[in-house]
Amino acid sequence: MKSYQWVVNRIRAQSEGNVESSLTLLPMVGIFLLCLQLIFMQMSRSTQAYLFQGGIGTAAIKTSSTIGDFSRVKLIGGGIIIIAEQETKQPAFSNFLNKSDSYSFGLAIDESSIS
Amino acid sequence: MTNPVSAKSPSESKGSAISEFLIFTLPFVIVILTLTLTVYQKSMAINEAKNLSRQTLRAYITSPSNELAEARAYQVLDLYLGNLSISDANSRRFKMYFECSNNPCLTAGGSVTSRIEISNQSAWVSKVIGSSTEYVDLWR
Repeated sequence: MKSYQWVVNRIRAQSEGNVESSLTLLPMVGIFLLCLQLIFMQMSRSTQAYLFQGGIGTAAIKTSSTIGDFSRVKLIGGGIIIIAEQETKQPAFSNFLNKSDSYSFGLAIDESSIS
Repeated sequence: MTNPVSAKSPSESKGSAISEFLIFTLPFVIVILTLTLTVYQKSMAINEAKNLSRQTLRAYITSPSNELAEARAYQVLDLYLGNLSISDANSRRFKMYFECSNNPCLTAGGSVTSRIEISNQSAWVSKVIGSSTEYVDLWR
């Protein structure tokens, strides 16, 4: 009986704080997912903005002023500005944040319109 | 002569997982997150300012006359501002400057620099400057 009590005491002494440390994992995972989502959203937004502006810049150099899916505004004194806007859905890693659409806007001077 | 602190073995120094999480992990994660978001925000703002300065300069430098040059550049800036959201337009201030190497500005072979200053009171990145330089066409 004495040896049994000794074994129980020994097990109790070795299992201190197991539940507590497991409980901290829950907020840790939550915070990790939230951070991941925020960072990924920012990264996705900036990548999209760079690519979008790059596309408009390329179109401004390559295309003639009559083709392409852009709005065109006449410049004072001659020339055309091409304007484009885009709305895309952000991919979601977790459900901690609402899915948001990101809006990109870009403009460039149409090189073919400049004499 | 033994130090009471150093005499304590590591197995005896019990810690609370929740308090350690709150004191060490949470501030660390928040600081990392803030830094990362600031870097992204700064990068986006610089990209925006640089691109805007490039396009306003292009409008300026391709002007048929000196008198119209600034009006063309401001037309590009106004078009951009017109497409910002209301909160963005209210919180940010855009300033545009031009520096010319020659007088009059649009003299063939002379250089023109456009500088756009975007100040935002509500963001961590309060001020961003984008500039670009181009030479006036020699055959204009």
